[in-house]
Amino acid sequence: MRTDRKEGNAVVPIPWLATVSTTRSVAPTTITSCQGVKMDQYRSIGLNIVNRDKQNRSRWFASFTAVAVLTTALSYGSAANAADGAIIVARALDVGTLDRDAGPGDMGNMVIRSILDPLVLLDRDASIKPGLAESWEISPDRLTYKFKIRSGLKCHDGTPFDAEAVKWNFERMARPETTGVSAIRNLDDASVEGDVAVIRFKTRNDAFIRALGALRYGMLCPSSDKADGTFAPIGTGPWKFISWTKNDKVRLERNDDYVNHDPWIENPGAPHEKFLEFRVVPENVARIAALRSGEVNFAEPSYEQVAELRNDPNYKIWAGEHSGQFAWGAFTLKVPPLDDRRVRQAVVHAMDRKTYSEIAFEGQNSPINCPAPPNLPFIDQDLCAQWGQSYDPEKAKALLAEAGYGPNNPLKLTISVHQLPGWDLMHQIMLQNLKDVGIDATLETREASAFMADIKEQNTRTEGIPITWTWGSSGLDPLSPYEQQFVGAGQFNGGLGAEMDKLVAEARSLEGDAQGKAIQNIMQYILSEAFVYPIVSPGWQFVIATKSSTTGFVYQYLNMMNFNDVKL
Amino acid sequence: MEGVTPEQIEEMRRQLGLGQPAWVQSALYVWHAIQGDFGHTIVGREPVLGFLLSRLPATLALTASGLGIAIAIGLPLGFLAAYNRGRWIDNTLMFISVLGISMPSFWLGLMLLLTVPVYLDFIPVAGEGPASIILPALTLGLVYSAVIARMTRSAMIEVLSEDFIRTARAKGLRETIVMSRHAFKPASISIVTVIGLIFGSMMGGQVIVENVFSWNGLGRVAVLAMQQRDYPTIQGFIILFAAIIVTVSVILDMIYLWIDPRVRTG
Repeated sequence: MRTDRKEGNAVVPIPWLATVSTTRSVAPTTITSCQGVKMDQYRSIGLNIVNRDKQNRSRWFASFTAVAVLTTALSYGSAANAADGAIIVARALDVGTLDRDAGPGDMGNMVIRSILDPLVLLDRDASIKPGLAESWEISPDRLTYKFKIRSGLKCHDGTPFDAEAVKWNFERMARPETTGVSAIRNLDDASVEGDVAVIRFKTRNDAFIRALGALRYGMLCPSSDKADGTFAPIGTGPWKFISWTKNDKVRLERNDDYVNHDPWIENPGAPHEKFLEFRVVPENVARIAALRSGEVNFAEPSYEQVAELRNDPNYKIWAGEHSGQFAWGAFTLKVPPLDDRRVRQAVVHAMDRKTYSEIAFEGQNSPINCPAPPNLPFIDQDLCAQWGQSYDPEKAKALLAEAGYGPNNPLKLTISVHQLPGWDLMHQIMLQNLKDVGIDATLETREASAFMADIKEQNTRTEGIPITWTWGSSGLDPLSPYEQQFVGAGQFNGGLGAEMDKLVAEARSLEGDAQGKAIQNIMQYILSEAFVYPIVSPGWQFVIATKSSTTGFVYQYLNMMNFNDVKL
Repeated sequence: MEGVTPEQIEEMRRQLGLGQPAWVQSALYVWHAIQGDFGHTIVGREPVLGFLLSRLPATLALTASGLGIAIAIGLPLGFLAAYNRGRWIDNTLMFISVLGISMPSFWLGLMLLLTVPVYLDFIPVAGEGPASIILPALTLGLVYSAVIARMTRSAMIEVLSEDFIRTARAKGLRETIVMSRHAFKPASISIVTVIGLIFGSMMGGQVIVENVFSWNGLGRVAVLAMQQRDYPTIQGFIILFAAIIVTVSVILDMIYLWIDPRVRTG
């Protein structure tokens, strides 16, 4: 080993290298530098000479000990998650609020429904089953609903849950500041008759009973609202709320006293695992890395990661089959030439929905023909295919030519959309589809709230660049999306006019098969006129990945995640 | 706005002071900010200052850890390169440092995320427990250690050519003593300056690293507030960040005084 070097004209020693080179063979106290300077000479000029061998051994020992302790601590730390029976779910976004009535959105509702049980439950065939209510009656005029509440129900804090608590829930939902619980609009009052809660509406509300079993209507216990004005969700569900660290995690604990009534769930009592934690991990790569390392048990993958994990036998992809979600598109109908049916039909004929599903969503969803939540009674995809426009670029070109558009006079069209995983790539393919049939299309992508404000304004225009826009709806009642979007002004001023208002009102007044036929008439009207075009289903937050060994997970209606049967 | 009465809208406008001229609103904001009142977050309606301060320890811990790693790696490598100036070891280290400086921290973070769980699955990757600081701190520290190594090298090379170093060697001092006691202190003035600048830069880079590694600090708050258009939180974040940078600058000035007494008299 080299032990000296030239520095200008002087030769200087490199003692620390000399030390390393000699410690194995020479007694420490007699070490000399390569110039032959004895250690005593160093001492004579005041240097502190130490036993280098001993010091090095001590340092190596200390380093080794530190690394060993650190490794052990880290190993213990990572093992702790599995040891304490915690199901850890990594998601991209945090809940906005845990208050059911403050507009928690899908991310919040999925957590909240783990804490709160609903009055009624929906079976796999969408039939209604008893939940907290053991039975119910609906008045012939569909204005009054009576729910007989099970006896002996206890909230997580030990307080009773009874008909009075149900009354309190509906009164709370009816407060002006409540958002996101549209199924109770036109509520007249709530009252109690013994162990029966009576809910009355001012106008007929057919969607109410089915909506109660959906994601958004779990029942809170009155003790959730504290005397000091604060709120913490307390319910009767399988999981008890422990803590929420914003942008970090929501932690829940098993309700050991839980009795299950949900027909989807095999486990009759409390969940198998002790804790349930929803952890926020914004980065796609980090979520899947955490799943691979065993740090989390469930992780939302990007659609690109779905393709990778699907081919790996160590992982399993769960996709929601009963989401009630459907992606659809519409037009600024008042802006010419979109008031011409042929132009709208041409645009829809240009769209290759099968490719959107296969490429943008990695085949995890399906193209749909009906503009309605799929898998519901009367939603017949074959019938809708006859009424709507399939992918046919040549037909699109012919219709455009008929309407006066061609290579020398291309139709200018803007695709106005908002950002969403999967949808971003879908819109890029959509843009190419339109260009392929000679439409001079451009794509405008906005953040969701900016998009909503913009499209609301665009739908009132009568001139300028025509726009096609996309959105998603979900629900368990086929008429609700129409009532929300296309009746009256509609959520985005996209109402389809008096004919649509009449058809929906008629359908609402009917029941059973007659209502089903009326719903199909609405879809035929919408599709043949190409007012609205269906795209794919489901559309958002409908896939989650686990290790193959994880069992018992259930995606229920509206992508409600149920962990009661999960075993890690 | 469905379900909100005009009276409620008017009351909210009054509470937010939206009826007043812009300059009055700005002056009021500054006046309240001086008193520690940065308003309330739009999402969650929490006091902004308390909300931000609750996240500050996580951010400071990550910055301190990252800086510690950067110094622990950068300083020795800088010494080594200076000492071996012009040799292969110097060239190799400086080539690596160029790579380090050129490497975006988010890219390094993603690479660590892709590789570490495969080979070292005991290191947490998604922000839970004290050990989860390792990867984000490494991401920050590795990138900035390159800057410190380069700065240390050039500062040490300059000092090592000074007469007093030659004198120290001439009287037979061991090279470790020459390097550590005689050369390092004068060289440390410029190194400390760079470390101060790195601190500010690291606080900024942390915004991305915190999001990549789900570290629940101010960076996560800032990104989310921007996505949610939570203006009071963003304003509070910027002011708090600026205050931290100013504070660090003042501390650095005081360190200068300690390192080099000439600054005191000069």
